[in-house]
Amino acid sequence: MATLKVFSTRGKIHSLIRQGLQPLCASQQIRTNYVHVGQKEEKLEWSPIMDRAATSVFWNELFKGLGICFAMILKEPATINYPFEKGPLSPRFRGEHALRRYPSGEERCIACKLCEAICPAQAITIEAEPRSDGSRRTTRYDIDMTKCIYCGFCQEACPVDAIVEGPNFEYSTETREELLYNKEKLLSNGDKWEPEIAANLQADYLYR
Amino acid sequence: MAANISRAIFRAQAVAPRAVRTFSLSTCRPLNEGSNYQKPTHTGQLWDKDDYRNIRFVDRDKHINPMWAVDLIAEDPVVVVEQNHVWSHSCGALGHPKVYINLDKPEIGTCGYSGRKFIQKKYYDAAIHGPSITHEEYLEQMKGDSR
Repeated sequence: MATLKVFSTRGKIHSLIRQGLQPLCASQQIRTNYVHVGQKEEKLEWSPIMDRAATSVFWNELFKGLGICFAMILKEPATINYPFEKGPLSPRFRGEHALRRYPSGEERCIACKLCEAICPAQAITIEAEPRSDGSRRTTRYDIDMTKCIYCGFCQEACPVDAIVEGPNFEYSTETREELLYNKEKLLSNGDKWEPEIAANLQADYLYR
Repeated sequence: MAANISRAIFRAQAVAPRAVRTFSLSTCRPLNEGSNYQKPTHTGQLWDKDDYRNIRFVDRDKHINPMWAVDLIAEDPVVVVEQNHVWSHSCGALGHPKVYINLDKPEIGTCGYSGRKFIQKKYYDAAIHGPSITHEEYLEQMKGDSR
């Protein structure tokens, strides 16, 4: 009986001390929202046991997985049929180079050599002399596509949009020599890709 | 070891008939040059028939562009202008920088960028200068796509 008395007084004193101290210790925390992160023990009453048995007997997980498979069949595929379908390209995409012409057929390039000067990889070589009708054009316009780093400085430097990096990105070759582009190749690229290049420039010219 | 020997034998077999074939090719069949190798490029690249550099175009056609700008611009009509000067600008931002062309002399003034030809109306002669369009038609063209 005496021990009980002692216990109860100790409890009272403890609570009194605690209440008295609480305003003094502002940082005291009482945590109540604990989360159990360990492995849960399976309940061994009859009803949970029956639930587990039914899940495994009727293949619940298996049918759930099949349901997901069926849903994915109905979904739009995330992949594209690449060589025949291509992803979207920005009008600023910097792909294969092309030399453009005016609609009259005249070459735009007048051999100002700004692109040659700005090219950080020194991939462009230009030679120029007056043409037979007196206008100044290039007699040689070479781009070493193995040197080119596709920075796009050449098309930014060009005052007449003559040299542009078009939207074509599929120009792999069998030999290295085929990647040393000359004026013929660049003009042919321009003739081939002019509709896309013109549309891209039209879309972007206000921001340049 | 055995694999190395067998590979060496296999390689010898693979090489031998090819060497024979190239030899017979060069003696029996003419070299297969493309149809373009005797046509000039824009850079004036055209060599003699016997030039050794023609080997580049064996079994690989020479790449040429038949659209010569000098011929295409020659067909362009002359723009007949009433005033003694004209601005060639080719459609603003997508064309070339604006160029002032003085037409006081009795000859065709050519734009250095686009190659368009201009002449004053009093000097224009259809027999000498070829087909023409008026300045209004020229301005109408400039309204459309970039030139």
